[in-house]
Parts: sequence; structure tokens; C-alpha cells
Amino acid sequence: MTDQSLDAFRSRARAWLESHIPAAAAPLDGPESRRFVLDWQKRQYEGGWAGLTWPKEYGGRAMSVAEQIIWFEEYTRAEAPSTHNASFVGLNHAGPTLIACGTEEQKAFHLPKILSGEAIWCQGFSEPGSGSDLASLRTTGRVEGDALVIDGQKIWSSYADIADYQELLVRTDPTSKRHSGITWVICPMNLPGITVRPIRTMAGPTKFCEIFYDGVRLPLKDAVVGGIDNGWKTAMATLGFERGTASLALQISLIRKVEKLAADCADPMLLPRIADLRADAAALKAMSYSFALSSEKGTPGPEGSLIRLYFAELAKRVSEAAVDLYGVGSTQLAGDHGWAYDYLEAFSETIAGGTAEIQRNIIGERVLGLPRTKQ
Amino acid sequence: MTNLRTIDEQRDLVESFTRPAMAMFPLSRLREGSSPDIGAWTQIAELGWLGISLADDCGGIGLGPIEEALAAQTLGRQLLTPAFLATVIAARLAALSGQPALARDLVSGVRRAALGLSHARDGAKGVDVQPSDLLLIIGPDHIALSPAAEASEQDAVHWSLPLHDAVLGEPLAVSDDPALFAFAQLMAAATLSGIATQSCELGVEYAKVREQFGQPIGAFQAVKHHCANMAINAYGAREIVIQAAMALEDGQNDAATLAAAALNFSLRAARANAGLSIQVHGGIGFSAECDAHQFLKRAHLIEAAFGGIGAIRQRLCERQA
Repeated sequence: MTDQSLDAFRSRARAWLESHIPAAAAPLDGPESRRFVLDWQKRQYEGGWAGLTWPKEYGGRAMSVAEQIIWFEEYTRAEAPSTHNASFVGLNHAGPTLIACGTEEQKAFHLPKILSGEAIWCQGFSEPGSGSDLASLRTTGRVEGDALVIDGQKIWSSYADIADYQELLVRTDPTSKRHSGITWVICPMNLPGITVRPIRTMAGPTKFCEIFYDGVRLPLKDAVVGGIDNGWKTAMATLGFERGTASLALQISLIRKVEKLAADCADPMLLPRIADLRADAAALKAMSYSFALSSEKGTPGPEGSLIRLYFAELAKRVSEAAVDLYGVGSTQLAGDHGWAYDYLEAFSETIAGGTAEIQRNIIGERVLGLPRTKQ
Repeated sequence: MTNLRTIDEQRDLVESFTRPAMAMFPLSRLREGSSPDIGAWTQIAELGWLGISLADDCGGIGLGPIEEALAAQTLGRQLLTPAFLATVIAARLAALSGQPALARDLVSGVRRAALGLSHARDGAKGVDVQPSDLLLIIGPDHIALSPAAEASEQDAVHWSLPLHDAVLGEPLAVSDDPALFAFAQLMAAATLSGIATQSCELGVEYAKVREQFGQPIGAFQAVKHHCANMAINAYGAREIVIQAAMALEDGQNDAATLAAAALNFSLRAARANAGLSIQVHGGIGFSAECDAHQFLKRAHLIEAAFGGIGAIRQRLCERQA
């Protein structure tokens, strides 16, 4: 695309956002959060701003990564609702997995619902005994005729209490160990045998959940994505994605927050820290833009895991600097969308989706080619 | 402003004319003498490396800041003498202040600029100042190029290159042009990103081959995590330099801020990686014969040319994008 047409695209995005972003602040959890997220997604879909890089046949716009970046820049500039909400898994995780590995029926049924704000998705990967060591998962899927019967337990599943569907990893081959014998399935959340227990986080909201499965029956052909016992590969297709472009909106938003801190900071003791954070934010932007743009030309490189970890740790340092700058008890820290929430919420960044320690192992072994530790 | 393009073609082009660098300037040469690359100065000039983004009438080859930054990244990995960085900036200063003849002399290797240490408060100092060198001083408000009338050795021990006290003659060129300052910071950042990258690679390679407790030390998580940190630092430094170069090439209004950010980030990345590389190398890393310390020292010399980390941070406090 030419610079002129990108500029025109930016103007259209800016104009639309100015007249359409919700007036009310986004609720953080519960049924209000569901309503808010679906309404906002629907409004974006009707305006032609949903699924910008998704294929047209499923309701997407088939646009370039450059346009996607511009949209997120304008989205953040307009202070539109955070994308780190109940729509995140559907839009950035389950949806892209279905696009990559789903059957035509699965894509035609689910993808338009995700884009148009009709369905919320959650993730069912972690278990009480399988966090960073995801491949040790024990929730079972037993094939009975044309059904898959699920038994077990999942945990740390954000928005499972308000979700319609779940991307769920289960062990379908009981004799298998580790990465083999796992299947990626679509699990409707309203089925008999599913019990959801919400858990309150240290940041306040009750948004992540424990889920129990007691003989939950799914029709095989609707449920299985990417083939039975092939779930690890299917999941990796999305985890790779999560570590790259999916977090672009959050990264751009963090960069903007650093500029706000820089504008507000007059404390000579804090200025050097803010100066470093500005440089760090500029480096994050340079890495994530370059990675997103180059991933358009082929398979994303391993750099995505570097960016994912760098973002997580920078998010913690930025919000920590904000707490130090404004101080506990200040108006800047208060409220659902204040810095105290950001600061506390950021502790999840170096845990969720693989702890920082595991991420460093992965970088060492898969990016740098260092040997695995002898067991 | 945002750059939404990739630069694969520029990478290929720069790779083609910096390819000789590794063979011509092996790191091992740094163990042999205290003034490396003096003898190779004519060759450096003939390869066109001193005026990559300068116009033809100034002796340059007319490419842009992106190509020049990419080249500086590659040459930074080989620790070319700091006079290389100084002369590239000096030639730009000469061109901007309407002295194409001086620019041509610098680009063609007839004259050479040594790198001045701008936070030295007790008179002018420079790195490895040779007789007949000019001295480039990057001050807080202006950049100046002056003849070094006299140079006496001040510290020959600690930084692998000798530091000199210099008595300066009348400046040949002085400029307070923000674009020159941004260019200088960009070139320093590119050099430092090369240092961060090379430190990372040498440390990682060593972690793969050095065995203790019956396995390569890189198999241990504590060492592996040092390596992962180096990889992130190096990647961030390389990418922020490219973004800053694009901004300069396009004349973006945030080019000065980005150049300051690139220098800040690349400096911290270079220092951190050099330190981690020494640590990963263990006992051998503390020895002079290991190259790891050379990267640490060079990062400090470039930092000192820009007034130290405090001044480098200060520039980022003043500017709002």
C-alpha cells in the first residue's frame, strides 16, 4: 500500500473511533463485562473494523499487517476499551487456531460469531498439576462412538464464567505421555457436567476460573480441531501466534502509557528511570512492528518469544514506575482503570502463558540452540 | 509517526560491501597492539565505509542512514577503532558546515578524526589520538572538530586503547544542528548494537562448548537465562537502531527522540551483554586474552564520548515526541 492510502485509512479509523467508542468505562468482570464486550465487538463489526487481517469468507477484511498496526495505533490513541478483555481468546487465539486447523464447517459456524460479537471464548489449557509443564495435562477425552466424553479439571481460565465456548486440551490417548495423544477440542460451556467456579485475582476482579468436567459429552466431528491426538501441534500453532502479533494492541497501549508518564514526571529522582522506560518502549515498538511486518511474508520467526517476554517484564516496570511517581492514594492509582490495577494485574504477565523462567528456557533452547538440561 | 516497511533489500546491499570486515578485522588483532587499525585506515577509506550516506561531492557514496546504520552494526561487531565512528561523524559535520573539501579528505582517509571524551572536565581528552589526527568533541550543545596540536598519554592500561590528553587548535568546524546530533547518536547506537550482538553470540557459543559437571554449561538454567537476556538486549538494540535510522531518513519529527532512545537502549544493552558475556566465560572471561572484556571497554568509551549515561538519559528527559 502507498503511504497516501495508509494515511487515508488512518483518517477513516480515527474518525470512526471518535464517534463510536463507548462512553462508559469497561466493567472488569461478570455478566456486565460480557454484555459490554459483546456490544463493543458488535459495534466494531458493523462498522467494518473487526477481524482486519482475517479472511473475507469468514467475515474478516483481509487487510495488511500495516493496516492492522495503524488501526491499533488509532484504537489506543482514542483510548478505546482495552483489548485484554473477554474477547481476547476468541479473537487472538481460538479464532486464529480455527483459521489454521479447523474444518470448513467449524470455521463457517464459529468465526463469524467471534467477529460479530455473538460468542465469548475461554481457554482450557492449564490444570492444577500442569501449569508451565502443559504437556503433563491429565484431563481425559474418551471416544465413545461418535462422542468425546470429557472428565477432569482445568484452572486459570479467564472469563470461563461468562464464556460460550472453550478451546480445550484433553488427553485422548490414555497410554500416551507428554506431547503425544493430546487433542484440541471446542467445548460449549453450557453442557451438562460442566461446573465453573470463579476465582478472585490479586488485582480485584473475579475473572479467572476453575472448571470441572464430569462426563461431558461432545459430538466428535464438531469438537475435534486438527485431528485426534494431534492437539499439541494445533496448540503450538496458536501459542506461536500469541507470542507474536496477538499482543500488538497491548504493546502499543503500553508504549502510550510510558509517554503519559514521561509527560507527567517532574521528579528529578525519577526522571532517569522514565528516560530509560521511554527508550525501552521505543525498543519494544521497533521489535514488535518489525516482527509483525516480517511475519506477513512467511512463517513468524522465533523472535516472537523474545518480544513476548520483553513486553511482560516492561509492563511490570512501567506500572511500578507509575506507582512510584504518583504514589499510593493518588487519584491516578484509583479506579477500575487506574495505575494500581495495572500494577497488580501486571504480575500475571510473567506467569500467564508460560512463566518468564520457562520463556527463558524456551529462548535458550529454541532460539539460541543451547542444550536441554539433563533430567 | 510510524514506519511500516521492511528493509531486506538494504540489508542485502550492506552485507555485500561489509562482507570483508570479519576477515580483515578479526577480534584477535586487538590482543596484539594498543592502536589497532592504524595501518588499515587507507583500506577502510577505499572500501567506502567512511562516507556511506554522504553526497558524491563530499566523497560519499550517496546511500541513506539506514544503510549506514546497518554497516555500523556489522563493523561494530569487529570493534573497528573508535576513530572510525569519529571520522564518519566528522565528515558529516564538515559536509553540513559547508566544507566539502574537508569532508572529502576525511572520507578518503587523508585526514582522520579521533573520538573525544566529552565528559572530561579537565581539558580535552581523546581515545588513541595519533599525531596529525583531528579530535571530534561531542559536547552538550554542539559538535566540534579541531586539530589536536599535542597529545600526551593519560591512561594506557584500563580501556585497551590509550587515552590521551590533547591540546586543541582552532576548530575547523562547529555545529549545533540537531540533525547532526541525531546522526551522531544513531551511528553510536548502531555500533553499540553490534557490540551487544557480538557479546551475545560469543557468550552463547562458549556456553555450548564449555563443559562442567558433565554437560555444557548452557544446559544449566542459570546460564541459559543469562543467554536469553543477552538475546533480548541484542535484538532490541538492533531493531531500535533500524527504527531510528528510518525516522532520520524520512525526516520524521520524532527522529531526534528516537535517536536519543536508540543510543540509550543500545548503550545499556551493550554494557549488560558485555558484562554477561564475561560472566558466562567464567575465569577465562576475566583474562585479557579473552575478547569479552574488549566489548565492555568499547561500550564505555563510546558512552564517554556522549557525556556519560547521565547526559544520555538527560537528552531523553528533555524531548517529548
